[in-house]
Amino acid sequence: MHSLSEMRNSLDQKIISSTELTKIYLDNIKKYNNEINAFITVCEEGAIEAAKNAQKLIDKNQSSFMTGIPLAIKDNICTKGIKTTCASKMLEDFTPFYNATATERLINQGAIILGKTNLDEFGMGDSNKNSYFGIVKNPYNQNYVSGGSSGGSAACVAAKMAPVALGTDTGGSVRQPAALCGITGLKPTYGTISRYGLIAFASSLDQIGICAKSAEDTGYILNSIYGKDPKDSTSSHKSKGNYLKLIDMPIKDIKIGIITDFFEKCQTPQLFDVIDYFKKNSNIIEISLPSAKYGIASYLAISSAETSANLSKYDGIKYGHNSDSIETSRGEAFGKEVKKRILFGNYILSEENYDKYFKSAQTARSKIKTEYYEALEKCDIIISPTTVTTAQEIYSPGNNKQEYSQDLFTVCSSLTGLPEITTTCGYDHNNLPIGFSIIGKAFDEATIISVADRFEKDFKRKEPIL
Amino acid sequence: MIDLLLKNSGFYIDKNEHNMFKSELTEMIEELEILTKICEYDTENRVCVDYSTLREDETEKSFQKTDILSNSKSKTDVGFIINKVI
Repeated sequence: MHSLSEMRNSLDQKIISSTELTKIYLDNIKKYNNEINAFITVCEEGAIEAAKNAQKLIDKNQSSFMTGIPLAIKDNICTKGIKTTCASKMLEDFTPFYNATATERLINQGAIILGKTNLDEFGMGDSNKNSYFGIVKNPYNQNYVSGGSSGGSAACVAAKMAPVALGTDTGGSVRQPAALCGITGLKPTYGTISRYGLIAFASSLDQIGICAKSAEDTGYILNSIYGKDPKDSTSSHKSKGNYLKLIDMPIKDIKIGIITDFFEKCQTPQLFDVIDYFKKNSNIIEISLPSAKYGIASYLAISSAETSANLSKYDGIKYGHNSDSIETSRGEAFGKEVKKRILFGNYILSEENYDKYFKSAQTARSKIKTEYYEALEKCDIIISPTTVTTAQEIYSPGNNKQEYSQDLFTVCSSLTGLPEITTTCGYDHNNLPIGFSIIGKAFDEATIISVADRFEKDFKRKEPIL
Repeated sequence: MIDLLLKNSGFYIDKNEHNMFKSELTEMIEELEILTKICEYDTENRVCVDYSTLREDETEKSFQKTDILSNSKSKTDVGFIINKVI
């Protein structure tokens, strides 16, 4: 069984029980997690118990789409009674007493939580090297990183430890690891999925996303968790649902914008095959987004400013790891990357620098948004590379600039709030996956899922050898 | 400025960390200089900006509210932030 729809059919036709299906994935976690390190917490007993309850619903023909289907959840999304650590020493012992809305909606449908996946601490990073619980390795080659911050979610799907996983995306944290691990990753329009229960990193950018084996599967999960939530004022009533309604729609009439500058900056020539594919199968136009070059600086300034505010509550008194004083609690419990971004945020928000940097960053964000929206008036979707390079070696020396530049192609969709899906389009000389992205109009996830699905049906993926 | 920032960081930082953060933050601040260029450009070209970039529906409501209060039909007349380059 590869897809969620096949699982659903097998469960409904009693070819397999929910418990058997859950055990297959728990066995895979036992086999591969020691090496890959995708999970921080595995919920073996809870998953078996939930699977038995789901089976009762299936036996009574009362199942919803997700009933009895196992999945993994990133460890910065709250799960009632299950540790939610954000991969930080600060929240090492935090067990939420409530579910995030996305989690709650899946549980209400009878989905099975296999465990909580590893990430860069508080979602800050793009390699998963910044986790308190260790690096997540790439299932295609364990000497390489999985990407981040949702590296655990992407790697567990790629390594068949879960059929699907929830991740979170602030500047590319679902799309980048999905591309590097050879799976499909969806970041919906800002506001499509409630952020209630998602532990905040940068509130104006954070969005729950989906890591799956196919575009179709991301649509099924989105159908289960989208929608306005009274507990999150930024969730939108504009999300339309029925995200698979355009599957199998012909793409010949779709007008596709290509960001030529982005493709030229890429170090993976296989990406030009994507342009050839769409040239043959639909109408393409070249587009230029000159302000996109401000994307990384704008993203860093805004996200760091929001981080410094969001993480100020972790003082060891009200929240988090407790030591002798606030200074030692925060000093001991936050990792290097988190501290650096808090310091950077404080610098940007200082009286002397606020106008110079923070307001400029917002100006850049607004210009980028205007350009993307204007481009999307000329075409239906935009295609772009997802990452500058394929996965980097774990022990390769990196610096700030190189690390942050990995987000070059993904930050603009985060700043604009537009939906973006990434899927695999090739493999490099080390057999590491290469991804490309499809950006759509706000709240038009159905179109990008449909185009990604069409591409996936015409492209043969390789499975990782574990 | 960075030394002062590190001194008042709110976390305990040892000497090694101090030096490392100082050099990395300096590098990051240099990156931010690109943003000052867009600000200069915007000042020259009189750009107004919508700071609530992601909440179009809310912004629209705010426009209406402001327009009613100021008894003006023009969004720009009331000096309210707008979402495009003028």
